[in-house]
Amino acid sequence: MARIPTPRLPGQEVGSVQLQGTPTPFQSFQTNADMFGAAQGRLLSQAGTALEQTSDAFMEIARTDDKVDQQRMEAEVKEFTTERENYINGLSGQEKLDALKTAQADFESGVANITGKYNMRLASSDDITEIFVKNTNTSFLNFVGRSAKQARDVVAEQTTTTGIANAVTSAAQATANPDPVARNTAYNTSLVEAERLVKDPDIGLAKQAGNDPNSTDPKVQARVDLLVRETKMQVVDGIITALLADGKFEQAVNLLDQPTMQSIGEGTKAYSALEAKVLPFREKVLGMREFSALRAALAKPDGTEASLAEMQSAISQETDPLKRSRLTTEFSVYSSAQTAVLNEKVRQQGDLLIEALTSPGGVTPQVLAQIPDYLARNPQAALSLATGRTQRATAEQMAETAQQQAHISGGGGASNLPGLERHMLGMFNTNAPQAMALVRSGALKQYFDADTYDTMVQKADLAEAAISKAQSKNSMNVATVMSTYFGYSRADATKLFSKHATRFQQAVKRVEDAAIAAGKPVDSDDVRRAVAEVLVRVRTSEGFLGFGDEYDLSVAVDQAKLDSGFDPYDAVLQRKARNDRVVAFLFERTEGEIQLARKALDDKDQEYTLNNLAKHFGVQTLPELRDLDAKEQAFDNLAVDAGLPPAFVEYYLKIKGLALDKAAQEIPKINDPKNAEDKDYLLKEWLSRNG
Amino acid sequence: MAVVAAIATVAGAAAGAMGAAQQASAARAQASYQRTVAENNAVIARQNATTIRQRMEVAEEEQRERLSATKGAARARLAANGLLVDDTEDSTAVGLIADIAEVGEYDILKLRYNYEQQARAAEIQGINYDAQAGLFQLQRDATPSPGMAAAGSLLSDAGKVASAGAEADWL
Repeated sequence: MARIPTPRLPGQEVGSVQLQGTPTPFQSFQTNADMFGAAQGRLLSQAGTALEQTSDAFMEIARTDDKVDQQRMEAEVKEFTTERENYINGLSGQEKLDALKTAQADFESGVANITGKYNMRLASSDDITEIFVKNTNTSFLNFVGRSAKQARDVVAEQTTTTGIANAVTSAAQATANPDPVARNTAYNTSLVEAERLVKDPDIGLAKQAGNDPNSTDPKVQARVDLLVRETKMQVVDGIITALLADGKFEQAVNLLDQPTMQSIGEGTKAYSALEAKVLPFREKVLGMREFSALRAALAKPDGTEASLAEMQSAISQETDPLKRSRLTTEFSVYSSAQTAVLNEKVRQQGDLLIEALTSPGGVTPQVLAQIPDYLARNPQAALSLATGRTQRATAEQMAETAQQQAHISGGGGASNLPGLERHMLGMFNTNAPQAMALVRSGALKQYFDADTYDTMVQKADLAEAAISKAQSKNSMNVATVMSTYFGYSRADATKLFSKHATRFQQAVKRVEDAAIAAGKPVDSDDVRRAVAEVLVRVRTSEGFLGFGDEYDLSVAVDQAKLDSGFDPYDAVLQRKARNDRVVAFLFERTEGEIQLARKALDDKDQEYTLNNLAKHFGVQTLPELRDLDAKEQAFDNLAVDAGLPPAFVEYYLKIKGLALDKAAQEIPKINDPKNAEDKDYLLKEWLSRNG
Repeated sequence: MAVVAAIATVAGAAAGAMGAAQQASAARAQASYQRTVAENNAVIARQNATTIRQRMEVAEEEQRERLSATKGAARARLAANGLLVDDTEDSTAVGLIADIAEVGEYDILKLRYNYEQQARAAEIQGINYDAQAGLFQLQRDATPSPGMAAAGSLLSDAGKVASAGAEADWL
């Protein structure tokens, strides 16, 4: 501590002590709130904040968990909703209405089951769930309402549509009623029913279209009226269609021309359509009326019809070209019908003659009296029957070969009974078992020469074999054909056949049916060809990177053509041994020849297709061959239908200088009475040339 | 979990309120303390001013005595050197002594001025401390009471508590 200076201190002179003026220092303390307890308070606050943050964290976790659960629940509910809606949408009409009765309750129960699986942590999440459920239920309720309306509309539509269809059917069926009064009553009943179905205040068509049938608004009334008339025209359309289908053209035209019908149909589309439908028949009806008048005018006093030639003559003298055309058309139909009747008579009389020929009594004058049309068609038959025994005796002496002598001495004929061979050939095509039985009986032997009878026996043998083959259970196995001839493994062949059994079986059945119809046994080559054609006419996959298409049996070619224009004959073939065998068989070549042809196509930079192969070999392609077969078949059918041997028709057309494809137009003319003279002459010529 | 969160929220709010109350209390105590210190310093400053003035008087007295001694010594030395010290006023000796007296008075005036300045500074310092004490008092008065602070804190957390209570289904 500093000492206060005094005179006794060294160097301190008397009077030299200085006053020490040190000021009192101030108080100076650095304080903060913590010194007064703020730290504790802050700590408490921090603890509070921490607790709140913890609470926030818990809340956030709960919120997140609830959100996840919410989304899962919503997804499940939406899936459930979609499933229920799809189920209901999949129903229709009354079935839908029935399902909708309990749909809402079931749905709400289902939703409750789903939401019950989720326990939300926060009350707000429960609120959200509740709102979601309410919205979902409300939405579904709306859906149910819409669906119910749709279903009711459908039921109403079905009811009215069925009612209209029934009315149309009733009216159409009434066309068959011969009583015109009853017929008209039925028509009117259907028309009244149609009107009722439109105007029904609950389910009527008008109501369905949003038009109140009881409205006084002229515009609505006009719409309802139009709807009534359109619906009535549906009934009229049904009547007209039925009448036209039955050939009652005149009734159809008369009905449509009635003022009542015109009144109903005025301004309707249906009436215009009906007019268009009937228009072609108006000419026909006019022609029928004119031809009917012509026939009446030409009828003889005793009531018998004029001959076809007289009718033809009268028609040719008609000056009005349109009327002449109409009369010619009707005459053609009339004469064809007459010819058809005559052909049937000839066929029946032919059967009667054969029956007589095979009976012990033989052909008596009474039998001949029963077959005038047959004898008129085959004029030499009567003569031949009368002179047959003499001819046979003479022929036996003149027989040139041992076979002929044996035939005649065995009771066979020296020549063919005219018309009988053709008749029997036709029978082999239409009734092979009966024809076979007749030949087997030997009763007809005396009416055929040696060669023809031999042909008949051969036909009978073939028919027997075909029938036997067709009746046997072990017809040719397709899988065996594939594995034996076309190089398929047994497993592949079985697999393909199993997969496409119907297609293969149809192809083979066609071959078998054709064989039976032709009176010959099923040819295994034909079966192989059928199988081969099936194999190349389909493919499973298109080739890529130049590897060619894979041929298999999974795609129907017709559908493929529709879809992508795929043409199997233009498709590039795959260069596999299996394909080579199939293709070689189809072209009746060896596999080596196919490979050489392929190389030639390669050299010419042409693709390896069935069409190009056909061009290379200079043969017709398969479809062309098939078309040709179809044309020949059609030609034969036309000839047989006309009661003429196809060979004769061919001869006739050749003599007349006409092409075969004119057969459809020319065959009816052969039977035309005005050509009867030509026909008889050429028939005799053809018979003489063909024994 | 919602219940746990709600309890934590309530506990947090309570702790927060207590903390706020305690902090408010501490702030008020601190302000009071600082006011007292400032008041003490104001008293000290005034005492310092008094002391300075007392020293000024002593120093002035001593300076006068030294001036008087200096004048006496000068007179003696002048007389020893044969100068007439009681000569006329325009004589050298008399003039010299008059100069010494004048300068001496001037020193005394400066001395007084210096001390007066110091005393005045001390007085102003005291006034400042008074003012500071008043400010601390104002600060104390402005600090919310612990009850108010607790209430405020509780009110600010009321929303959270209500929300948490609702989530826990208490409301």
